[in-house]
Amino acid sequence: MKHQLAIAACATLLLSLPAQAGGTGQFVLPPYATIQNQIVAGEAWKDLREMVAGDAKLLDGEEILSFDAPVQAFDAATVPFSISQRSNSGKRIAELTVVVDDNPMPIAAKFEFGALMGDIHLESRVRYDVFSNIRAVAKTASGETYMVGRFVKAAGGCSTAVSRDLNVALSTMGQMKLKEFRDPNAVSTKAEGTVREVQLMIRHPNFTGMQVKTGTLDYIDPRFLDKVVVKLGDDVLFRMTGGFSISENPSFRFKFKDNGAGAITVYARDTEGAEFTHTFPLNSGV
Amino acid sequence: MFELLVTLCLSTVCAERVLPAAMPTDKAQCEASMNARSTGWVKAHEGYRVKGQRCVAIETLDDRAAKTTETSPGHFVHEGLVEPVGPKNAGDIANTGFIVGDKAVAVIDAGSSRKVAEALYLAVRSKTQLPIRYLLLTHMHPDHTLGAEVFKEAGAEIVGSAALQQAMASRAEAYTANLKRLLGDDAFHGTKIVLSDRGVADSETIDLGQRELELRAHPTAHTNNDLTIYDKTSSTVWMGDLVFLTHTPALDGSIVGWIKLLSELRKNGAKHMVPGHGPGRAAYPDGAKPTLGYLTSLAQQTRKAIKAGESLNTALKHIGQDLRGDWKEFDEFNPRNATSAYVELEWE
Ligand SMILES: [Zn+2]
Repeated sequence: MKHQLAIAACATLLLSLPAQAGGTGQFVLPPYATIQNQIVAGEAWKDLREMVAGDAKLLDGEEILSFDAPVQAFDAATVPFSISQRSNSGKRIAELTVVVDDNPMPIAAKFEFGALMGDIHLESRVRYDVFSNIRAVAKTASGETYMVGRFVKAAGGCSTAVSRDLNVALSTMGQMKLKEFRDPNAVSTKAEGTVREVQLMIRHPNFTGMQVKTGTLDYIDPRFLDKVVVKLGDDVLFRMTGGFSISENPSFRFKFKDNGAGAITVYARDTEGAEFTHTFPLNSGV
Repeated sequence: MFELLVTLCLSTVCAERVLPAAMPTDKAQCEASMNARSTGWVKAHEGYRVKGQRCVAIETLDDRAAKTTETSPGHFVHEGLVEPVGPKNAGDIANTGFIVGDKAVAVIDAGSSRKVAEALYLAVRSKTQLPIRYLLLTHMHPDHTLGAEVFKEAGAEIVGSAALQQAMASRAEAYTANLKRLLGDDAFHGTKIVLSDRGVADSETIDLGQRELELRAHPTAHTNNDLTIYDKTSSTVWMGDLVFLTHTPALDGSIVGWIKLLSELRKNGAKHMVPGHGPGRAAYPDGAKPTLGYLTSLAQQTRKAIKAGESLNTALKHIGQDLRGDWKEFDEFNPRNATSAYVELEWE
């Protein structure tokens, strides 16, 4: 069924963007007034809303988050997005769900954050089948629900579902890499509570199930990472429950507060039950 | 010799298609076989129906035949347009052609649609009655492959890299849907994707009769299924999309692999090449320099951005922007290439 969905979606028409929010100098514009790709109204969200947020009141996420996704994505297999919590928001975000409204599997990922994540800074990449909104729905520890979204024109259409090189993808599945980013101006410190930034990369084709086996018309079953748990020592930084809308070779760049444990451990599992675990000693501050 | 033209309708869209036979036919043979051929075709193409049919002399079909240049005796090149695929050009944007030996013909690449492939087929038939024994596909991309069925009907064996069949099978639905949307119902009319019959794992020589072609499959570069064809007689290598001229290169494989391949182009005695896009003839190996230069700079800039800790979203906004030069379709292809390069090189 999902195959038909995906293909039907390829014939999508160009959606026009709504007129931009206007304003005059007399009022202080909200920070998002100049965003070029505001979310657009669509049918898909009506069904998704309940699944994602239940009957919670949806507050304007722009107040606590800045959300960046391109106006137009040239490689629809790899559409980057980033979420950055405003430093003065005074909220602790406990959960975040990323939704691509019009994808065959709209809920791309759900993150549950540990306290060490502090203000949330998270970047990842999703696949796009058709032009669609991407939204982040954040639940705070105090029970409020915020939503923020963008509309992305993905130019690659449907040619997005496949590994560039299937055999390589299968033979390297489960490899991981953790990159640490250091602010060159920052004083090197091991102090607990220091904010650090890393990028976790996991090799996995995240099969969508739209690929066809050689010489047949049978589909390969979907196979994607459905669970990722990232810990700093014994403290959970985040747990992700994912779908195949996350791009091949999933990547998560995020910030966290150091607890001095000195190593990040990653556990990942895919829908076939394959498990991958890696521990990365941290060099930052040494 | 006579060709069979059949008016075929899919819903309300009708067009007169060329239905090749495995061997050229005279008027009587064409007319005797036309019912069987048109019914057979309709059986294999769901939704189509025959509205009319006629056999016409090949000489009267000149204006439907693709324009080709005989760059060397028996070596014909058709230059695709350097523009986006659309209803007007029916996807005639890739360089294609054919090579004629003493006993047989090999066609190289098939265009984006049946319409484009029929034109190439008529160009072959206007030059020679020899059997079309091979259709050689340089790689999977739809602008090079979607017209392939025309040559299968003409009796050709479809040969590509050993990795081609799987690559095309897994993208068949997406390519079909995409091209249909880009070309529209008229230009896409009659087009049906077919897979290669056989793959070349490393290299193989085929003989067209006093004319040998050396086929070589390559490690992942432009795609994971690139194949080059070396015609020793004309001293020409068909590079497929390993070489772009005028049209911005498109990266859909490995930037590291592609740079390596072009840096090490074998001195095999060839003097000319046919690039996948742009002018139909360039010097071998120097014709690869613009592509190699673009890719090398793109890789350098991408590595620099990654090293500086730039996220993909940030890096995409500037990588390669200063490489525009005279490349066409740059704004469409450069950001896509930058994405591909980034997600490959961030693993280094
Ligand atoms: Zn190509």
